[in-house]
Amino acid sequence: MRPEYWLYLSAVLFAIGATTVLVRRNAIIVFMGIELMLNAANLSLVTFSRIHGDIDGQVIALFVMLVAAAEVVVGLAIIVSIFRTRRSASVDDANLLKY
Amino acid sequence: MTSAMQLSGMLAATDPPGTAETALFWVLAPVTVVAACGLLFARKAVHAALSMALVMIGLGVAYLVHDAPFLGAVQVFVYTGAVMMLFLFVVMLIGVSAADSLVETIKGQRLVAVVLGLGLVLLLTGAISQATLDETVGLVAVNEDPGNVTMIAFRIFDDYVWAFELTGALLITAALGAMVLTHRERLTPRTTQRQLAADRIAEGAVKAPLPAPGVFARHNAVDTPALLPDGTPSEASVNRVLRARGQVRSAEETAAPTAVIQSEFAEPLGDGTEEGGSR
Amino acid sequence: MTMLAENPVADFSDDTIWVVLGKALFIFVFLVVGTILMIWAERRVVARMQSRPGPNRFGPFGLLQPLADGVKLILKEDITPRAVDRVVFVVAPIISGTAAFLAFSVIPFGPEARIPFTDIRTPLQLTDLPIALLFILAAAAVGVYGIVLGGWSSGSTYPLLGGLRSSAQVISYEIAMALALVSVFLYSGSMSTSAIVDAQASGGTAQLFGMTLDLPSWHAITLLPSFVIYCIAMVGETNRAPFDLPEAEGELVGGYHTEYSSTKFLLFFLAEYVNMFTVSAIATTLFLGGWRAPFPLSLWDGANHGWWPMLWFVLKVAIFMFCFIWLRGTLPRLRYDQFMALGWKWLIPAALGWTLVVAGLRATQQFESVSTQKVLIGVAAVIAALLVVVLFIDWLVSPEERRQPRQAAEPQAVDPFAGGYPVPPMPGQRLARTSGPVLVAQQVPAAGQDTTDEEQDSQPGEEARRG
Repeated sequence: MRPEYWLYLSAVLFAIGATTVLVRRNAIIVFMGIELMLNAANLSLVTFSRIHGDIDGQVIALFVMLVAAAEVVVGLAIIVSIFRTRRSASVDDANLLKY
Repeated sequence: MTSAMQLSGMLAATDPPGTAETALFWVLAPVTVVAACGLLFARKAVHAALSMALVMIGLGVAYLVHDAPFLGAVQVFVYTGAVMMLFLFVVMLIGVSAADSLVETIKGQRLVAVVLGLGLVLLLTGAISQATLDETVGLVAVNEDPGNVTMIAFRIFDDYVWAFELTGALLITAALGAMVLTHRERLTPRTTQRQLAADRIAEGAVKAPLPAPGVFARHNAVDTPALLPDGTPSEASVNRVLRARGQVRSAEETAAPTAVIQSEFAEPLGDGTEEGGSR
Repeated sequence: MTMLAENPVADFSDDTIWVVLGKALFIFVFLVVGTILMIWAERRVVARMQSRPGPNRFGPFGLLQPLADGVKLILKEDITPRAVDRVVFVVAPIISGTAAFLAFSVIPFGPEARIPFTDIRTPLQLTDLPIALLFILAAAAVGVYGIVLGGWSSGSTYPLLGGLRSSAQVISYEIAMALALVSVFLYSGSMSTSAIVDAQASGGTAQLFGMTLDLPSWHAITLLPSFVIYCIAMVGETNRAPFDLPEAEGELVGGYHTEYSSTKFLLFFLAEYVNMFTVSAIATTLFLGGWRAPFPLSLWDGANHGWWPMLWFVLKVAIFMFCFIWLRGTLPRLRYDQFMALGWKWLIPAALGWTLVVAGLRATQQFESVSTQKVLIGVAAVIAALLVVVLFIDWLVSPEERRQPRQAAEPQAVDPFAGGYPVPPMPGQRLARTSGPVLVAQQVPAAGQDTTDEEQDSQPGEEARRG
């Protein structure tokens, strides 16, 4: 089996993540969608790393993980502080900046 | 031949890719895709987080096949162990049972989003199918000689050392940011344990366990109130549900035969006891 | 610059599928039998510590008691409360139980040995990976899901609180634990268990003031701070007393498994004990030389060959397991904030600082070719200088009273009957009188005046001070 099958898997996962971001209203689930997209990108990075026999892909995937971890920390803190003031975790309710 | 290589070998990571990898792919791919769909369809945020954790573990196993044992372990350790656990923690913090509302705020948004998602799948798969990929080289040799972790370390601390330093700064900034965002200024002095205990006593309510039903009474059934040492029935000893249903036996009722029995034993029992028992 | 080998040293290339299955079965049986024995030992040892006999009716020394309890537990009614989230409620104990067994697949029980009645030579270890320790940490991380989800899915307050406590606890203590492991990785140059055991074979020699010294080889000695931090963190990680906050009986009924019964509860129970075996086995492998024989035994050549090492390994694990029981019999449970403060304010900073020291030492040895002796002298000098500076600063900033011991405050005289009924004196108070229910308005004598004999009996220090 050639490794590009994993690329197809990565593409499907990325699309599911993107759709999640568009469809769901709960801020936490939207955030998980973003994480899924990052993971899908990681999968293609690692697959390409194997195809080309170059470990750089794995290194970059590692960096993506680190940045994602930092992003999760700040993002969840924002969700929690919004929840504290507005009593809701829905992205529809955080609309003050719209006007 | 080291064991890791053997493990990868068992999963057929070498070139030409073997049937074992094909089998693994056809197990992993449906599992991860179905679990990822959980994000789209789960009503409860906890279920979504769980399916997400399953995707993470699936991808971790996939990395093992891709000659990336370090990344596979880190994936499970960091994503499943820390990130998704943080998600679960926040979900439980801000309303466990809060099911997502199914009201569509923008008309037709869901349909458009699904169409866009399917379009994205078509676009990406089309692009991949059109691409010409080189013959798979694989990383078995690299993992064998300096080792997977060593090689990644060489790259991180040599070629990418500046990026690595920046990532460290980013992580520290993120930690600080989270602390600032979730920090609440304390407006009143912190209540000490001593203060809490004093307040509890000052409330005046009974702090000891409630009296058990039937104590000192003729019966020890749960519907029979306990008799206090002075002979009065204790309201607190019977479950309030029973009292609301009107199923509580009166103390007099159960005490009535007692008076008869006690009159038979009038001699050995003193006056005080009889009085206390029959009241 | 010397490069340490990262990949495992154990060679599994001759293993057939039957050998692998046999090893897996052995690990499973070992852990289940170990759990049964551990439950028995725990009840007996704690009983001895509390001066009671413990279970002694069923089988010799009550050995069959846990077996009987287990059978009883399985045969009990499996209750699923109405408020639970059914799927998660069933999945949670399965996750917990499965993840607990995973970690043992990379623990080495011994070196290469011949399987009896065959010609197959194989390492006494199911498998090994270049990232074996990360694999164990990952398995432990997955295991926590069982606890958190069990607490959440029960749909009840106490289990939820227990689950939340547990997730915070494990996240906090896993950091300290992983940091404690980092220094072992640095000194072994590998994350594979067999390579780490190999690295503890011999500590080498050092030239110190003209003498040739055999350096100790166990990481427990060379990396003592790591060992101490790991030992504290492993108790926190396994939810055992004094850190058993997720299932604190006095506060949370049973914690995360309050609503569980029968087989599902059994799985949680099994997972807790298997986790204890796992952390003990990791501590043995990483810090106590793994299956290698301890010092006097190691003089005998055969001690590290064949099947003997498995005995040493099991004995070392048993010592850790005894310590778990000992802790439970000795220490009261910490309060939750104290526990978190210990983890975040002491363990993690200490582990970070120590990791920094080890990394610095390792780098100077590996990249600058400085001898161990010079490095040790340099470190000692730095520590001594720091100590002097810290002591001086402490003396400078310490308040006046700490330099001159404060005189004891004059005890205040109180009337115990002032409120209508007698009360005992608070610290720093003395009684103005000791009897008489009649309220007297006039007194509360000023301190140091007309005290009675009884009061002076109760305040011997005061007499001495006045004289």
